[in-house]
Amino acid sequence: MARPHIEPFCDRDVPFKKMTLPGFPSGMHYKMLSLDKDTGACTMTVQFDAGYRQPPGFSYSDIELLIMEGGLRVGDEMCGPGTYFFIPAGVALPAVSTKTGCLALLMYNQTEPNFVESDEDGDGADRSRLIQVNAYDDLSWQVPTLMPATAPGCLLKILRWDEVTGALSFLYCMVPGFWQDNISFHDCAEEAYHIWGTSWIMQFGDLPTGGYFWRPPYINHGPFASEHGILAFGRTDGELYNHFHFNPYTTLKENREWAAEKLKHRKPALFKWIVAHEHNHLTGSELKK
Amino acid sequence: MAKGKKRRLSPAVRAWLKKELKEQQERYRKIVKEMEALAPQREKWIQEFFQRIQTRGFCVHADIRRRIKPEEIPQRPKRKLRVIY
Repeated sequence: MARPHIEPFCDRDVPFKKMTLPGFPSGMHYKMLSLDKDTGACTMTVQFDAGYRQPPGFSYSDIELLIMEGGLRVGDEMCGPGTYFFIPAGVALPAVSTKTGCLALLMYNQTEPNFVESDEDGDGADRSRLIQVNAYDDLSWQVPTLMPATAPGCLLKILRWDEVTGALSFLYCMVPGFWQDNISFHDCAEEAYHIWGTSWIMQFGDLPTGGYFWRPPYINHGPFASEHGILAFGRTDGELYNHFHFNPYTTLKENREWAAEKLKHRKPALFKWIVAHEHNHLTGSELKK
Repeated sequence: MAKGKKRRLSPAVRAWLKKELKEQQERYRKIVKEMEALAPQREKWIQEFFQRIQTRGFCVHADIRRRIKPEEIPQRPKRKLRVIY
């Protein structure tokens, strides 16, 4: 994904802008957090004004939505803070409205924001992939099962896991006094938004409430700390593996080479097969086999 | 539905994207400047980190820590430390 490294950025420092794209009803305002220069895919903080009404319809892109404040009526259902939606491309939502207003995170995963008014799903839409859950009320905090894992006191609620790419969407929290003394990087891009609280990262300083980052793969981050704790939303665009080390001076290229070297030791059979068959150009269809 | 399939974008959408991308470039440049200004403080934080991993230990996995020997502490390269890519 062609988004630049945006870190740290705090949406509290910029005003909301009126959504002017064709198709969107009035009463929607946004702050752009990051935008893919090739596809228009983006992440925004969105304010739906009191009285906002959106007719039934769908998008050409997969959409993710997390309600942070206020609420949205989706069809007959009232959705409050903590409600998370993954809406596959082409899947039509019923009418959406809010009486008192709503603050949300809104993500378009493949295209620029777009809305097609429709009572029916678009051609080929896969409704079986639709997710709707109240992450605050209906999910429990889990200790991460990743190996190696973050320090105790960082907990997760998994909202979505992509069975093809391994991409994750999740809520995470750090308990007050959280501290993790290592430097981390991943093979995937990572994105996060602070719903509440401040954390500290050695490279970037404090990330407060409203703080956001889009971090491309292999970029050093950490150690981490949070004095009073945080609640945040996060996503990756692939499998999340923690490469931990203690050299703050390594470059992107060195981290990538180290990760490849690690693959040789951790998955030698796979590494050997890839190299022996010069099979470094896997396609989507092969991944699904 | 072929998600994200190429569609002809209207001039209004193209203009919106152009404006947003321009603003993002400005945002990126501002972040780079802010992170450069943080460099002296970051260098202090790095030295404190090196102290802690030699005394309390480096977090290997969850609760597991390893004390780093003085000879393992990385030397600062001559190149400028880059944190934004």
